[in-house]
Amino acid sequence: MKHLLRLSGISLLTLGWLVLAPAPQAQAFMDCIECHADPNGGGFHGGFRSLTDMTRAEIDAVCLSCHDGSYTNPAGITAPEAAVHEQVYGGSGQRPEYGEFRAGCMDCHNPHGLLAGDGSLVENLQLLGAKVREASSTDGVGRIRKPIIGPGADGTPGTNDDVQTGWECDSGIPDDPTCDTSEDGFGGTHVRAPVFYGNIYEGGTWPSNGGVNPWANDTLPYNGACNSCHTRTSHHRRDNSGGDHTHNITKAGCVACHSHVSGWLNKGG
Amino acid sequence: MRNMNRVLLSALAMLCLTGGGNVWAKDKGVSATALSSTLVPAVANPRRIAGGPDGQILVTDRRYGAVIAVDKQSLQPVWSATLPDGGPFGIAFTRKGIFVGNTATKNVEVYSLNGSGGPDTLLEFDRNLGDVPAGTIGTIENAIAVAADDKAKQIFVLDGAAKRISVFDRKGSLLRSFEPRGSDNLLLSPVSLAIDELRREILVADYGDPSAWLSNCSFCSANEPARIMIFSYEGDFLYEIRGDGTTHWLTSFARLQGLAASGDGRIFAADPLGARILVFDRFTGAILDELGVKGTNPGQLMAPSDLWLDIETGDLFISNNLGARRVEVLRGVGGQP
Repeated sequence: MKHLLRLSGISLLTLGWLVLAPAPQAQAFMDCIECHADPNGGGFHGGFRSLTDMTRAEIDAVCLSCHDGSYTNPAGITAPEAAVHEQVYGGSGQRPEYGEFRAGCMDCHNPHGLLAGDGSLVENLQLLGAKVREASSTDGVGRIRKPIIGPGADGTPGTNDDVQTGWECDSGIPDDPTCDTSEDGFGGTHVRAPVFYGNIYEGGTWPSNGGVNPWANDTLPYNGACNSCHTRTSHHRRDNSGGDHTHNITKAGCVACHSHVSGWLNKGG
Repeated sequence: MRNMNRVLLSALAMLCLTGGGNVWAKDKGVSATALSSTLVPAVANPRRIAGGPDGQILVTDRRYGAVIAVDKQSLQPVWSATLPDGGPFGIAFTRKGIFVGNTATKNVEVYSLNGSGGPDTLLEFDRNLGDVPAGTIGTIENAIAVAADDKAKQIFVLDGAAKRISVFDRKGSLLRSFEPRGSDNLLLSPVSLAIDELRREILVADYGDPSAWLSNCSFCSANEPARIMIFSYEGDFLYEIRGDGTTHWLTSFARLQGLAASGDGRIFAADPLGARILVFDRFTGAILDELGVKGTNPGQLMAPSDLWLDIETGDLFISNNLGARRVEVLRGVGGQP
């Protein structure tokens, strides 16, 4: 009888799982451990590590360990392939006029979700945060971070070997620590982690941030996902310093030619 | 007589290197099937890596959609060929052709070489594996790893989306296929494949099961750890190295990518999370060594994704990424077989 009860209990538990558990096919969500797995911790689940002390490249390595095109999870969902938007001299450098630059995964994506100005959790479609605030912000309005470009080896600014030396907020304070601080979906603040240029999506939900093309907004402020950073590209500069804002603006999006798989760089160069 | 023998041997060697039905196309003219040969300036988004012809190694590059030949010594590109549909992933080299998994055309395409081996080298499309007509979308959804055994005349393809390993002969006929299931008979997340020609074994890196599908509870998610699985060429499961310490109590890892086997029973594994190369004992599962220094400077590793071991020199070539987009090499670590 005891054995029968035990069997019944197991059966009920099993039934409960079957009823309540999402189907494996629906596993598009991710667990914490998928990003926070400790390489020495014994598999996906045996060890947990914080990412806050890691460099941007190390964090990107976490993302790309699955998003490199090779990983299909047990439920059959293939992680979308992506590459980091960077130019490294001696490595992939091909367009010296842009200098060295690097926009890592979490410069655009926020795996933790974000809080809207009223404290509610906003949509985090494709992990693209809908809004980000500086810690010091009281108006709930996002701020653009922009790269600080300085002279490279030749010591002369404005030449082809210029390098990115840091980031700054619209506050104008170089490496303003609040630039790297934003609120996450769990009520805490994260330094470095959920960084980015919230006003990419300010005032709306992706992709309706205004303008014809959400990737490269052709109207002020030039805050599409792509052109919110660009200051040296041939087209779509955020600071309106040159180029034009019409380059293929009516196409499906910058991604028609500049794919994430290519690190947003044009395949031809 | 000795001189005569020497001449004959030299001629035979030249034949092997430059013609006689091998990977070099007999027709030295440029044909309509030749791919674009504009040399890329550098490796930009390297993925899989394989041995190549004449002191070169081959890399698939997802940025350029190209196969890039890199000099083994200088590690600089020598020639490159852009695939018209641009999705090269897995790659293997044999004397009979270069086998490229193309995720855009969903085929494994076979190419021959034409040219001097320098910048003028061209890749010429020959055929698809599996008797898929040229220009036709195939059924290999995601050929993320390809390996070849020249002696056995077999090509091994891992379709990451279908989670299936298919074995072809060099002419392209399918010999067999199987699902890479581990000791628990579960089919999880295979991400890479390599072969041990000496033991006639197939090595498969598998991420395990990261999801908490039973209860959507992170604390309940200790399902299946990452692992290296070993199969015979025929597809029989032989052995498994698990990342949770259950194979060897000191063996612990989270996710491994590209693999390589040395003749002395070591397995090298690229660890993108740890920015290092782990060296395993094939028979005990013990971690024997950790290779590489984390960083983005030349000679350092960041997000290594694949390996190729030159069994003649013991040099281990690594496709490296993320601020360190290049091919790296650890000289001599593979020892002699």
